[in-house]
Amino acid sequence: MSRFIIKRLLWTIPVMLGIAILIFSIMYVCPGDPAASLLGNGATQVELQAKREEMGLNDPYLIRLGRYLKQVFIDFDLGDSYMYGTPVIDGLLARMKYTLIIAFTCMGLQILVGTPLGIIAATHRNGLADRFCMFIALLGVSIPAFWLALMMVVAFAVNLNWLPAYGVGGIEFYIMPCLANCFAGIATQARQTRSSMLEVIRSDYVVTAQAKGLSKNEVLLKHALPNALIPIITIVGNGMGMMLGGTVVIENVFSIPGVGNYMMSAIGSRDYPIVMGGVLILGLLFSLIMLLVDIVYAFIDPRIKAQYEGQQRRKKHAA
Amino acid sequence: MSKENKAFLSIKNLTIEYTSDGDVIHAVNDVSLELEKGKTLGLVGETGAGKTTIAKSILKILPEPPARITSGEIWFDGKELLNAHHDEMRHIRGKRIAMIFQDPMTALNPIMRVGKQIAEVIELHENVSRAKAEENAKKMLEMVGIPAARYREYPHQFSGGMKQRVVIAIALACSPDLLLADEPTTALDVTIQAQVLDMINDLKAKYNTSMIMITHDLGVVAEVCDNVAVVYAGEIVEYGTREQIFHSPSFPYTKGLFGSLPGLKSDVKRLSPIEGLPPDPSNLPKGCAFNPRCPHATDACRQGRIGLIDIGAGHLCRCCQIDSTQKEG
Repeated sequence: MSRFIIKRLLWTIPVMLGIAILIFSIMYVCPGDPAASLLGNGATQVELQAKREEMGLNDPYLIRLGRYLKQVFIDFDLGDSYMYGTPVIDGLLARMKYTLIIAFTCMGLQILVGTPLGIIAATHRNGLADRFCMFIALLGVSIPAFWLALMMVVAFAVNLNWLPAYGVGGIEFYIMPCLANCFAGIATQARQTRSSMLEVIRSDYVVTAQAKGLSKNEVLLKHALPNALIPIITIVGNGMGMMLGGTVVIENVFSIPGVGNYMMSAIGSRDYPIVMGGVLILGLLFSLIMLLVDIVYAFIDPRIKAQYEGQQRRKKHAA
Repeated sequence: MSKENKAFLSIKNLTIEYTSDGDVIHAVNDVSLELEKGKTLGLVGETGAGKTTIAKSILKILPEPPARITSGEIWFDGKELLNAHHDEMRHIRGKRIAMIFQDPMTALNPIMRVGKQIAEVIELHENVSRAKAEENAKKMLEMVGIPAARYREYPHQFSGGMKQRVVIAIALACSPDLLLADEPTTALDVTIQAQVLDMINDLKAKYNTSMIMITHDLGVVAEVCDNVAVVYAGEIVEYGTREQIFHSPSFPYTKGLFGSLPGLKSDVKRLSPIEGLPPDPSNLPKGCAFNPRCPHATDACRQGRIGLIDIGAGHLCRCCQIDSTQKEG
């Protein structure tokens, strides 16, 4: 198992390399001139040309790419922001806090609310509870987060004056962003849990468990749910990844200085180091989460664990 | 009341329907059965005849919906089960009535240790510590011929035959009074079949367990059953002792079953099957359910329900042409 984890960790290196090349190339072909946005409208052609030369923007594609890759993968440096002149990594880390608070809160809500809703819906299939849960879930996947966020601002900040409309601070600042952001996740989680549970509930081993004399809840929680977990965990992992990058909209609506906002404004001002650094860090987090999901699989299902270990055994035989 | 309690298990006029896409499927139609303590009753019939549904209804583990028990009573050791409370049923399931399931490949929880699946039922019903339950579960494993060292393994590490033994070990773990064996040997190859049957017979003798053996294999019936009920389209069409059924099968379907077996002595080129297919349970024929396939069918067979007739010493047969079929048979 540890060999599997090490192997997967090593695999993240080529993945990160791929991401770096891809994002660098995208930024390269993007129209726009960082030197121009840095110097403003008043700059002359000569000044611009000198600035471009100084920033290394006039060098050919391959040289710039090579320089960037060396900087990231050998010097472990994401570079300095064009705009602020500060190291990108510091800027990202300072803003990561807000993004992570929202992402983890949403994830927690998604698991704690979505999973029970799905289980209730599955056990009351076609009943009133099922219809109710699935109606809520349908609302959740259909309503865009930004619209919900705006409506909440109108209701709770403008009209009722219960919660602050924007900014960061105490817990009260996070209530609306988290609720608006997690609704879709809860809905997806509930729907996935329901379909996964429905499949498992009809299986023979659940009948065996019933025939042993276990109570309804014991059958559900000890036998059905653990078997239904694999697709549920997958949704959680994907959701976590989406959440990290996808709070952009919510951060914008509520003016939260998170990673999403940081990157959005960097795209606007062609601040390449921030955009590329942000994408790399989010990519790294995403691959680590996916690795975690794969490890959790192995702990849930011994057959998957055997598969992981089997791959190594086959390799050893071949060697 | 006392009349009902005479038999250890007695099923009266049990009728079960399934609903599927608006169609009503008549899975079990007015079935009545009795079973004495320590005896084995064979339920014989082809796939889809309603045998498993009958067994599951005794444990009340039918999925409702789509299944619905529309009428009937099931008396077990002086207690009516169909109206019994949930909690009451939970103490009966696994402890007093246990079931061996048909398909060992899917009957075990794939992500729970095999030993734990046996220990679970012991912990639930016997008032013992976790350690003692584990010890007993290991004994059960040994009893069904699996080394106790494999207690901590998972079902995917076991062969089909071993999984079936585990399923049997789970069923027998609390030495039940009634064992419902749903085709316990169908998924196994012939040599393992014999071993499993021997094992079930031994255990039955040891604990004086009553058993309902569901099978479509007449060889299995001959080996383990005292009485036999032949089920066709959710109805019992013939009932008798093993000798009565084997020596003088009377219902045309039963005769067909025996007729389709190739004899050892005769040199046959082709098997002689029963012509036609079993009826669609959502659209049963009027009268005798077997009449479209029956060589002796007359107009009388196509009208109204036909009752079971005693054709001698408790040998029951649901045939209104019994005189004419007997002559030919």
